[in-house]
Formats: sequence, C-alpha cells, structure tokens
Amino acid sequence: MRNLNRRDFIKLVGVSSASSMLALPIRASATAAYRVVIIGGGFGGATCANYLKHFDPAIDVTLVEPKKEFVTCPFSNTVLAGLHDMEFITHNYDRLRDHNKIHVVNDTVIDIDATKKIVILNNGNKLSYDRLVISPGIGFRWGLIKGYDDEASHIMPHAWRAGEQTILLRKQLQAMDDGGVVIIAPPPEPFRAPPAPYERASLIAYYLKKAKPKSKVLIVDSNKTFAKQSLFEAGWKKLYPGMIEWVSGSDVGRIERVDAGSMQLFSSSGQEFKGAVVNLIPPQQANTIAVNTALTDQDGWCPVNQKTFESLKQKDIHVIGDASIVGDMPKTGHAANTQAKICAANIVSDIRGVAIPEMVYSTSIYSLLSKKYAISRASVYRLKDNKIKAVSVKDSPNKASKKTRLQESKYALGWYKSITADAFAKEE
Amino acid sequence: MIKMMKELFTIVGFVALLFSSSATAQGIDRGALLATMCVTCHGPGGQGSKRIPSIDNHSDHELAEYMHGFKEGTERATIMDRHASSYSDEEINLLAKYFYEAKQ
Repeated sequence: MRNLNRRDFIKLVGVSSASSMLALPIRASATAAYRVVIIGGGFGGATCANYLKHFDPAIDVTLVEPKKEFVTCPFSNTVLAGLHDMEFITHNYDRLRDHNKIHVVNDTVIDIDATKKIVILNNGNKLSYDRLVISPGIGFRWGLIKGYDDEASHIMPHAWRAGEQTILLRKQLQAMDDGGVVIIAPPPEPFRAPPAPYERASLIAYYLKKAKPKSKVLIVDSNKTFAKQSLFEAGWKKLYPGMIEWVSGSDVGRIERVDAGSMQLFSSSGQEFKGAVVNLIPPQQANTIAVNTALTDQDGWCPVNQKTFESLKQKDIHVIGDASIVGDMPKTGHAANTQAKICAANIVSDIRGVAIPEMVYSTSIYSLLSKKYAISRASVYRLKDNKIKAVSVKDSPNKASKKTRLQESKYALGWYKSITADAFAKEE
Repeated sequence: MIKMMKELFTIVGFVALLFSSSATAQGIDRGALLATMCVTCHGPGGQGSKRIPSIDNHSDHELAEYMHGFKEGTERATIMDRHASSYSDEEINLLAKYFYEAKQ
C-alpha cells in the first residue's frame, strides 16, 4: 500500500489538522521523558502498554513481566478438550518490543518504593517511573483450604493460571480410566473468569464423550448460582446428557479440607467427594506484589478510582485487571483489556491536562460448550456516581438454532484472535 | 500474505496516528476512544476477524444504519443487538464516523 504523505496525514486528522500539526512539537517536548512502568504482561498490562503508545508514542513505556511468553487462560479449556495445543494459547512480546517500541523487561518485581517512585527488580536493577500501572492478576489464598498448597496442586491441579497446570490437568484426563469421575471445584466468588469453571466442565465432557464415554464430570460448587446458568444447563442436557452433574453451594457450603493422597474433598456441610481427577480452584485475591505493596483492602483486592483506575491506597499507581475492584465488571481478560485502554487514555489525558471524554465500556464473554456450540454474555457499562455500573447484561437467547450456537463458536474464535492481536500487537 | 501484512501495518499506523494527533489538539477524540471497545472483537482498525465481520469497509452512513438497525431490532444479529441497545444514537454516529474517517 501507499506510504503516508503529508496530504494523507492532514486528511486523517481532519478539520483540526492545522492545529494538530502545530501542536505536535509541543506535545513531543511536553512528554518526551514521561516514564510509565507497567507490571504484569497479561491482558491488562500488555494492552495498557500498547495503548499508551497508540495514544502517545512519545511516552517511555516499560513492561515488566517475569515470563518470556504469556499463556492465556481464555481458550485454555480448549486445550483440555484437545481442540487446540499449548502453542495456540501462547503469546510472546516480540511485536510489542520490536514494532511498538515498548521496553520489555523479563524479571520479577520484588519491591515498589511508592515515595521515591522506584520499582526494584530481582536482579537488583531499579526502574524509575512517573506513573506506575500494576496488572498483577490473581494470587491464591492457600491457607483457606486445609491440605491444599502449592505441592498438593501438583496432584489436584487448579489450572487457574494457564501453563504447566493446564498441561498437567490435560495429562491427568488422558491417563484416567474410562468411568472415572472428574471433579471441578470452583471457589466462592469473586474469582477470575466466573463462567470458566462451567465452560471447563463442558469441554472436559466434550473430550470424555469421545475418549471415555462412561466417565462423568461433577461440579462441587461453593456458589449457589453461576453466570449463564440456564444456558449452560440446557446445553449440557442437549450435548452431554447425564454426564455433567452440578452440586450447588447451598448443599456443599464450601470446601474446607482436602486429602490429596486419597483424592478427597471435604465440605463445610460435612459431605465428602472423591474423584479420579480433581480440579480444585482455590479462593483468590490480588497477586502477591499488590498485597506486599499495601494496595489491597481487607478482602485482598485493590480498591481503585473507578474513572482513572488510580489506587485509593497509593498515589500515582494504577491497578487494573483481575486484582482490582471495578464496580460491576467481572474479573475477565476482556474486562482487563477494557480497563487497560481507559487507564492509558486517562494517563495520557492527565499528562496533557485535558479531560477524558465520557466512556462506554463493552465486553463480550464467550463460553464454548463444544467445538461448535457457544453462548455469550454481552455487557455494557457506564460510569455513574463514580462507580462502573452495568447498564445492560444480556445473554444469548435460551432458545436458539444450532446455527446460532455455531455462529457464536466462530465468533468466540474470532474474539480470541482479535483480543490477542489487540493486547500483544500480533498480526492476525 | 505479505500484502495483508502491509495493509495491517498501515491500518495500525493510521489508527495510531489518529489517536496521537487527536490526543494532541483537544484531548482524545470521543469517537476514537469509544472505538477502542469495538476493535477488541472486530480486529485492529476494525478489519474483521475470522467470522467476525469487518467494520472498516462501510460508509459512515451505512455503518450507522447497521448499528441503529441492531439497536432497534430491525437488523438481524447474533450479539450486536445486545451491545447496540445500550449505545445512544449520538454514540453510534460518532463510531460510524470514526471508522469511516480512519480508513480514508
């Protein structure tokens, strides 16, 4: 295609072209040295880095992430089902670094000095910032379930951070005898990706139906209801009759203790559950760095200004993604991506001393029930009385044709391709 | 493939330029900011993704007409009706104008 010339540029900036052209040098000099450090290279952090550069290429953006590649939780359930491999859900930071000129530092943050505005890395290096964005994701509250710790998670995987745990759970499913019971035990809300345990149940059943048809999936829930429940239950009845059983939190209470040796779960209501494979998803909170930096409240999550995502605990630090408390938004990759863009826009606007326009936030949360059957929740949010409130939360219709469910499964894949392109500056 | 890549670079470049220049003169343009929500599904610059339709190849009038149709239920949709119903007419027009102008 053609190169961008001056005339194209004027066309692009439209009516305000003259003032924009004049304003460019002022903008560049005003923010040339402005440094934003972002901790965490998931959907929140990567998107925020990308959009800061989109909004203003002059900002100096550093993304700190220990891993060289990011494995997404979205679509990790399709790996459990054998529909995709790990490579499909693994993304690197090459394009963010090479094309979008973001400094990518592969190291762990061990401390933050909020007074001196310095991030201290494991290798001893220090990064100074004008503004810090933290998108640390979730941590696990290991102490809450007796007998369940990091070691036990190698026997009863949580697979709630995608990667090795995903591979482990997949291998356990493959090794299981036909006729086995797979237990999925979701924690009490709030937790990362509220519909994902139920998508997981569906896609494990998808695999079992083909490979081990006498087997079952038992969801031992600590919640009394779940997202898109009627749609999931109708789908299970249709696709996997008799294969998936859900036990409500009103019967279970919550999981209090596990015995990894005997593969048993013990609930507060006095019930015992035994599985051939146990996927125990532990209770969650904001990840360690947020807790250690005193960004969290008594429940372990980070309260933020709902408009700017600036921490209510520390100045010049923004918290986005699963770790933050963002009004009615659930903890999902799509929500983190949305928050990241608005956070970036706020930082850029704040540097300029201009107001940010009124925003509308939209998310689409797809859940796959099989390769060709998906449902979705479309949510629209607005800022009202300084809180992000859901204006509408609309699920796929309860009655829909096979074609509609198929269409949504294709949209789910398109969504995944787009959001990873958006966050990691990938080419589709 | 190379042609597609080149096009993609150009689209990404256009969007980046528009964002940065509009951030300069009078703050970030509202249409550009609202559009950041659309590209999450519709791909960089709204180019489409797999079966998700592109939104960068319509006139502003056409795109607005689709969105108003989704909002009012006169245009068939799988998910866009559920999103469009919560956008004001003014916001729909801003988005349509943004995607049309970004492509010119």
